[in-house]
Amino acid sequence: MENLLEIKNLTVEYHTQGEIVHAVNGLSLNLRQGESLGLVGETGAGKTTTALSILQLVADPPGKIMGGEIFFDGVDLLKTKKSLLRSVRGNKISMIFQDPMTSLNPVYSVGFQIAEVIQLHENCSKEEARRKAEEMLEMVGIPKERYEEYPHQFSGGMKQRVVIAMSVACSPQIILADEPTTALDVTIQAQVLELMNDLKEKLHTSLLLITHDLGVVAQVCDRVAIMYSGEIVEQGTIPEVFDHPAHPYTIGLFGSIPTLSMESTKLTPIEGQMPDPTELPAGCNFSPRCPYARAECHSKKPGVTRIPGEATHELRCFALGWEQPDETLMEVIKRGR
Amino acid sequence: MYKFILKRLFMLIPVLLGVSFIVFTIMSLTPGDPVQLYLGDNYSQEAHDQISEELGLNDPFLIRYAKYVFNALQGDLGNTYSTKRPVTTEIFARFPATVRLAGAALFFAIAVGMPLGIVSAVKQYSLTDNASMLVALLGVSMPNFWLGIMLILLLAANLGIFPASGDAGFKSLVLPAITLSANSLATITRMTRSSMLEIIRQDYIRTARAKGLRESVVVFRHALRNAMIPIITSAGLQFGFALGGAVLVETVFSWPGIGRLLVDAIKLKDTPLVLGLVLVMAVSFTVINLIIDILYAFFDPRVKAQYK
Repeated sequence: MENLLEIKNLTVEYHTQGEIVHAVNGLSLNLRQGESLGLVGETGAGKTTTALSILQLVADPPGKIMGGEIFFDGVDLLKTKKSLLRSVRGNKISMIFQDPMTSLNPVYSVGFQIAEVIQLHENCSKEEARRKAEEMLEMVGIPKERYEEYPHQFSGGMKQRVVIAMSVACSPQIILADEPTTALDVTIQAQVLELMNDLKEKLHTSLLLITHDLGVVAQVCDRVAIMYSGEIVEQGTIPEVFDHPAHPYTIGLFGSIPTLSMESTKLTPIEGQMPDPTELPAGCNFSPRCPYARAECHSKKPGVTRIPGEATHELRCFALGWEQPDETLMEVIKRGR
Repeated sequence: MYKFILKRLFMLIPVLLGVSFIVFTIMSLTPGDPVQLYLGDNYSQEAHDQISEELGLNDPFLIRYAKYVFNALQGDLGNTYSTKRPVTTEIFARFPATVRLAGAALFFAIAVGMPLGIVSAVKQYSLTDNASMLVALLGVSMPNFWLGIMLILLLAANLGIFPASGDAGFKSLVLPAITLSANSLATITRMTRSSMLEIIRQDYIRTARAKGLRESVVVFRHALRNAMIPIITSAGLQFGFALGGAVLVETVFSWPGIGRLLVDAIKLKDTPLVLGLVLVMAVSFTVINLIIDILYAFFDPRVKAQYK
C-alpha cells in the first residue's frame, strides 16, 4: 500500500515570552490509503500540534512550524501555495476537533455550517449544497428537519455528530480526528466511535485518530504510534504493539491500565512527569522516568530501529541494541501483555 | 419578539414618569423666579401675581406636577417661558439637526472605527495595529472643543474647504460630525479590536479555517458577526449620548441642536422647555437601547431565543 500522507522530520515550536516550547521534535509518520492510525500519548505530548500542522492550523503566533516536510499526494503541504492548501483543507483532508461544544460557530445554523464546506469545494449551487448537507445530517443520525437549528439547541454528542458530518461532507481522503470522544460521556463515545467506523468503511477514508485512550485505539485502528514529548517512541500494528510493547514508556502505559483478568488493588503508574518542553533532556526524552535507563540514555538521543522479526514494529530506544541486555526489560518484552 | 418589543415600550412609562418627576422636583427646588423671565425687566407686582396664577405657579408642588403630567399625556408640554411658543414646536425645530449630527458622527465612527479595529486584531502588533491604537488613544484623549477649534482653524479658516459654523447643507455637517465622532471612533476601534481578538482565538474560527475558507471569509463571516455584540453596545450608547445633544460641539460650531437649547433653558430656568427636552432625551435613549437589544437578537440566535 502506498503512503497517502508522509510526515518527515516535523518540528514545531511555540515561542512565548522568551521561552521556546518544543512541542514536536523531528516527528516522522506515514498514513496509508484506507488505514486507521492511532496516535497515542499523554496530554502535552504534541499530538494535537502534529495534526494541526498537517493543515497548518497551528496558531501563529505563538506556534511556528520550524522544519520538516508533509507530503500529501506528492505535494509538500508546508511549501505549497495558500490556495492549494485551502483546496485541501476540509476537502481532501478534514479535521474533527476535540471539543464539540466550542468547535461550531454559535451564530450560524448547523445546516449552514455543513452546507458551507460543500458549496466551497464542490462548486455547486446553494440548493444542491443544502440538499447534500441534509443528507449528511441524516447520515450521522440527525433528522434533516433540524437543519435550521443552532448549535446551542444541540447536546454535546449531537454537536460532535454535526462536526463529523461537516468533516466527511466532501468525502475526504484523510480525516484527522483529535480526541473526538474525549468530551463526550461513555455511551455517546461508543456511538460516535461506531459512527466513525461505519463512515470509514463506507467512504474508504484514512483516519488519523488522536487519543489517549488505548481502548479506543484497539477498537478502531489498524496501527498505532505512541507519542512522547514530541516524538514517536514506538509504532506498529495493533497486535505488534499491544501484545508485545517494547518501549519502556509503552510498557508503562499498559501497566497503568486496569485489566479484567488480573486481580490487582493498585495500578502501576509511570513515576514522574513528562519533561518540561522548554528544557528537554540531553538524552532520550523518556530517560528521566525510565526504570531501565543507562548512562548512554541520559547523554545521547536514540534513533529509530525496527524490532527484529516483526514486520512494521519500530522503536526509538537503545535497549534492544545493548550488548548486555537488561534482563528484566527483556523479560517484560518477551512475556508481552 | 413582538411581545418583547411591546414589553420594552411599556417600560417607557415608568421611566418617563420617574425622569419627569426628578427633573420637575429639581427645577422647583432651585432658586430663581420664572415669572421674572416671562415678563422681562419691567413689570408691576399685579402683573407678576397674575402671571404666577396663570402659569399655575401658586399651586402646591404635587398639584403642579399632576397637572403637568395630565397635560403631557394629551401631548401638551406647555409653552416655554422665554419664547412663549409651545415646547414641542421649539424642540422639533431643533431636534432634526441633532439627529443629523449624531447620525453622521455615528456613521463616521463606525465606517472608520470598525475597519481599523478589524485590521488591528487580524494583524495584531503590526504597524497598522500600533498606528490605529495611537489614533484611538488620540481620539479619547483630545478634548472635543479643542479638536473642533483645530479643525476650524485648519480646514475652515485657513484652507476654506468647509464652513466654520452653522447648519447649511452637507458641507457644514462634516466638521462637527468628525469632531463629535472622535470619541466614539476611538471607543469603537478599541472595542472592535479587543472583541475580534477574543473571537479570533475561538475553536470555531479554527474550524472555519479547517474547512478551507478564505481568510477574509473567516474574518468577516465567522468572526465579525460573533464580535458584534460589544461593538453595537458601545456604538449604541455613544449614539444615545450624542442624541442628548453635544453641547460643546454644538457651541463650537454654532450648530442649532438641542444640546445648546437645553443649556440655555437651564440657565433661564425655563422649566417646561427643560422638562420637554429631558423627556425627548429619555425617550430617544430608551428607544436606542431597545434597538440595540433587537440588534443583539439579529446577530446572535442565542439571544433571540431568550426574547420569546
